Amino acid sequence: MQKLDRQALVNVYEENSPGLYRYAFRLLGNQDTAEECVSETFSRFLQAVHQGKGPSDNVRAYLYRMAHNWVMDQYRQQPLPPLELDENLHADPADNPSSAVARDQVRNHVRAALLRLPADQRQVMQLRFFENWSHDEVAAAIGKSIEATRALQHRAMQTMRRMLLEKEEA
Amino acid sequence: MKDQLSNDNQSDPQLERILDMLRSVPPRKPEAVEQGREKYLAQLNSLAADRPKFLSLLVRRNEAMQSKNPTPRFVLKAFLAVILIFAFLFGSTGLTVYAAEASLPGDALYSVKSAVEQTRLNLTSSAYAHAQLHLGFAQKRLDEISALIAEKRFANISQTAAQFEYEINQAVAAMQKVALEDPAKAGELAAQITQKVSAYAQALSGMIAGLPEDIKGEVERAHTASQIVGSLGESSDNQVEFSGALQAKSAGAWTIAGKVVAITAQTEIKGTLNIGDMVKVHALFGTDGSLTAIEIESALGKVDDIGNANSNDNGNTNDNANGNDNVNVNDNANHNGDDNGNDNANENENANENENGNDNANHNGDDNENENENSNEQTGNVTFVGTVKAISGQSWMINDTPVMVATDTVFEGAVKVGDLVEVKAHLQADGSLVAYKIERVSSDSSGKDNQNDNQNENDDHSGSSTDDHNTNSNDNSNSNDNNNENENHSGDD
Repeated sequence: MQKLDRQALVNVYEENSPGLYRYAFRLLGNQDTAEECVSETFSRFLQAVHQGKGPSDNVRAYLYRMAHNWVMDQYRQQPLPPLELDENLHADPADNPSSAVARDQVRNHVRAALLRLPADQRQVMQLRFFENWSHDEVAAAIGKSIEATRALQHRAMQTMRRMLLEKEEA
Repeated sequence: MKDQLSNDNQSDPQLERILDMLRSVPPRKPEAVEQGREKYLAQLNSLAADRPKFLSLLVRRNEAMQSKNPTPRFVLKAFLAVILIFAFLFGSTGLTVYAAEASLPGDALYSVKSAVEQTRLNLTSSAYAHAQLHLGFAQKRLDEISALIAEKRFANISQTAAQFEYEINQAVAAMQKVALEDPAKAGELAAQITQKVSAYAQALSGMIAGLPEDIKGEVERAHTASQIVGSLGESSDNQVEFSGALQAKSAGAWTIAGKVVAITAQTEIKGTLNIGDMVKVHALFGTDGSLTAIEIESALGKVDDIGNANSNDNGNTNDNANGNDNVNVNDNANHNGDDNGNDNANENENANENENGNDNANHNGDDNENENENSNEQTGNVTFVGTVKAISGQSWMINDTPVMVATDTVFEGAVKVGDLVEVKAHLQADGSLVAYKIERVSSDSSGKDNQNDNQNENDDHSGSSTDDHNTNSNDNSNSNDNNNENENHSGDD
């Protein structure tokens, strides 16, 4: 490879690596596994490019799809974290700074709920809310219309509420 | 996250607080970051040795989207695409221009064009350069929309319009990134963006009219987006103003001129605004291109005036006496809810000049010139017949005409008072007659009576539709009891 296209691929890594790590960590809850996800994602990306199967337009969306698939592959080999109710969930952890354990419990609970969403709803929630992508960008990434993306987001919110709040209130 | 939820009108504070717990992510370990980068670069270097395969990336992707049995034309295009990528990567501009400018959305080569654009973005890490690239891409989308309209390929316009909107939003987002680091440079960039996008808005405005109805919405939306970005140049705090029809309302968002505008508790909505109303929006322009309404009001004036449709119908009917009806109807409908300053200056100029005053000015060309000349020409000598009324010396009276006799007057027969005579005389300069011969004739009439009856009836042949049929009847009956011929020179019978 000559200088220019090599540099382009280096830039792809530099620009997307931090975001992919965050994306993976939120789903995995483990730094090392999240780094592994990033590494594997870029490795697969280069292989795809090498084989002529890489992205035709939106490189970023392609990378996030690959990372998402890698995470889901991990969970196929192990059970999803339990969606347990925690009595501290309603309390704002900020009110109880001493309880790092409580914070972790809340995160795990939210992660477990997120992982139980249908794949497309989960992707919309992740990209839209945690990565702050626009509807247009999310729609391009998941290959759906903007309207469909909005609908997915709406359904994801309802499902998350049911799993995290209503069940508890009942 | 709250911003995102607000923008999506699905605000759920309780859920948001819980979801926020997952937002924070522990920082990466530097050694893990470095390890990951090294691994990536190592793999990259090993693949670099196999350059042709890498170069085929975009082309193969393109082929996969096409028919399994590509046409010769496509093969040619794919070949050109390979050359394009080489040309682009190695800085040769000629072929780059070819492909970049040749294809349109829907063309086989278009995905290559998109890929090249994406590569150009990837080659650049500077936000400033990104902004300019996106701005350039927006211009390309605009050109594509124009070309698609010209080729009547309407099916591809919506997507291209949406992409145009995406590009200008990305340009603004990049500009906002620049602002964080270098406000002066961002100001310069903002001026460029607003100037160009305003021009784009103007160009789009001209394209909308020729579009089918089902396509108009998307292009109008792109137009509104460009208006909004164009107006950013007048704002120092990312606040924009735009107007458009209120198309939909839901609890947390309204759709105005194709743009979704978030409505928050802080949004001030003036008056009652209904679907279909033209409204003016004052909104905050988000970094992701989202709009959060600060204030919405009717675009037609003060809210108090809404609903007052003022209609002034001025119907002026001017009837002419000449039978040509001039109807001038000035229908001024004022829907603006403001003052009704309708000046109705109804000047009704009747272009039909009626010269039919029914004055029977007969211009029919049939001149009724009745010249009844009873010409009694006397050329020095006069001859006439009359009765001798008196004889007094040299003065005779023949009928009522005095005639002088001279010494050389010839008398034929014995003439006395009461005889009928034929007089031949010289007409003198003073009008008197001097007889040179007087001859006694028989006393019965000469039988030379002439009677001329001249009747002229004039019909109007002017062609006028008005009632000006003029009948001029001139009865000229001239009865001339003399010996002269009467000539009728009338043009008519």
